[in-house]
Amino acid sequence: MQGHDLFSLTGRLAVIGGGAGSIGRSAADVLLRLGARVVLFDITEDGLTSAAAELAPVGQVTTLCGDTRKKADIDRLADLTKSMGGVDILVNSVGVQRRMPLLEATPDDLDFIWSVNVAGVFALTQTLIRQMVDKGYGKVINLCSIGSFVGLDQKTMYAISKGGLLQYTRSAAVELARFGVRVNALAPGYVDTAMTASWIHTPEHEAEYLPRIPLGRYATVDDLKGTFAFLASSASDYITGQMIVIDGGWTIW
Amino acid sequence: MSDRFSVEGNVVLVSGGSRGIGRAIAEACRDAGAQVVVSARSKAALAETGMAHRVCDVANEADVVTCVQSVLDEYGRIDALFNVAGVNFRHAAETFPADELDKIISINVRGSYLMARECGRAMIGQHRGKVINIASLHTHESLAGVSAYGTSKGAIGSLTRALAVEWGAHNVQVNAIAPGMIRTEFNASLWENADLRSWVEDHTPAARLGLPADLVGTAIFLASAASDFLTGQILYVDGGFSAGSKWPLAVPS
Repeated sequence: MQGHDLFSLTGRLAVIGGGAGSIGRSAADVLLRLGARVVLFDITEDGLTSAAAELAPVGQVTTLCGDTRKKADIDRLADLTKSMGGVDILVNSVGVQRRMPLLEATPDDLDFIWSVNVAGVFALTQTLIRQMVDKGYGKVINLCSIGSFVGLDQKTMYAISKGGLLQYTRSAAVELARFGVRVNALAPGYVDTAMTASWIHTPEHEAEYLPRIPLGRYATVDDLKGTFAFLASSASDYITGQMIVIDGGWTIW
Repeated sequence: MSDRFSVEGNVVLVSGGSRGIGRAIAEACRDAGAQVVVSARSKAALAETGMAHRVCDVANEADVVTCVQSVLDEYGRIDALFNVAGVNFRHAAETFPADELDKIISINVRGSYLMARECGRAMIGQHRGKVINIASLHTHESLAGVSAYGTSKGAIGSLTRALAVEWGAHNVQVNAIAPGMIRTEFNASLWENADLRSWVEDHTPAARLGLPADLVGTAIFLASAASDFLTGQILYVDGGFSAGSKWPLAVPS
């Protein structure tokens, strides 16, 4: 079926930064199902072990434990992917946040969030895109947020970092297009995960947020899979520098 | 692969489907197993597609009502509507002829609205559906001499968001594809102009004009379950044109 060939990832090697987390796992799951080999890179060994166990029935998964803020760890990852034929797809789903009133936040809080959400993504990408440039083809997919373009109460530092990541997506896309490397982003609203459940499912937050969402519910990690697959595949080859918002319509009105 | 990107068996109506972008989208859906009906004003051009078709001038309300009803009568439902029919006339704004302005608005805006209205009512009844409009780079930024077309495509952005908000609760998703500079068989002469062509190539990070084939992956993504949590969004398929400007000089090596 031609329609399906557009979405095939057979022969591709994908790296999922933050691959042990819920969103990283969902990206890994769908890319594996489309035929890619996947390397999960994450800071938690336990998380990687459980993610690898969960994904092993789906396809070929390799894991590497490391920190995107440490050059030696990134270099180990680059050596690994090089030995596997070079990376074609990089999903940057490493991210942290600190929810706190702005009046209580310190520059150190911002430094921490920036070091992971922007500087870490930048460093990891900066190293791995060289393997894409060598191939003349590649796909970078950054995990932005609706906080990339709307203000977030008590999450200013997170919003700053995701706004920065959006501008990184655009500028890198403009510059790397000449090498065949596409850089795009995915921007969810609230995603229903173990990390967010205690916040988004309180009666007051459901009353506040759900009426704002035309499709009437929070995203599940499954809702992101189609867009991960689309941006990773040749179906989106003429798209670069774009952010696809998956928020059920939350921010369109 | 699971059926995430499948449109097999889906009933897909493509206005402006006899040529250019509409034809490419219609053929891609057909090749992916959808039951496709194309509509356009010219019976001869429709017959030449070899696909099921309806003669329909989207500027004519009775035509639209009849066209949509006859598709529903024959197929029992409509899963996706692609609103592709559109026209463009270029003049300086200070002397723009009112009759051509009327044509642009009645086909591009009113026609898309009426097609969406008729199909949307059926989709609400089905509690499932996808409306995919064709927006433009003009939805996001403007060029001299194209003010009427730009106005109409700005309206398409508003229409896309408005319908998404209104129909979200009925599980009808409304999104748009904004093509970049696309070379089709009937605008090919425009791109013979070397100045224009080099302007586009210099301003497009991908350094080439787009082709209708560049849009079909996005069309299938938006028509399929892969995009079920996306609504009210405009996807720019433009080789990076709207992400930013490409520096026109060679990169120092």
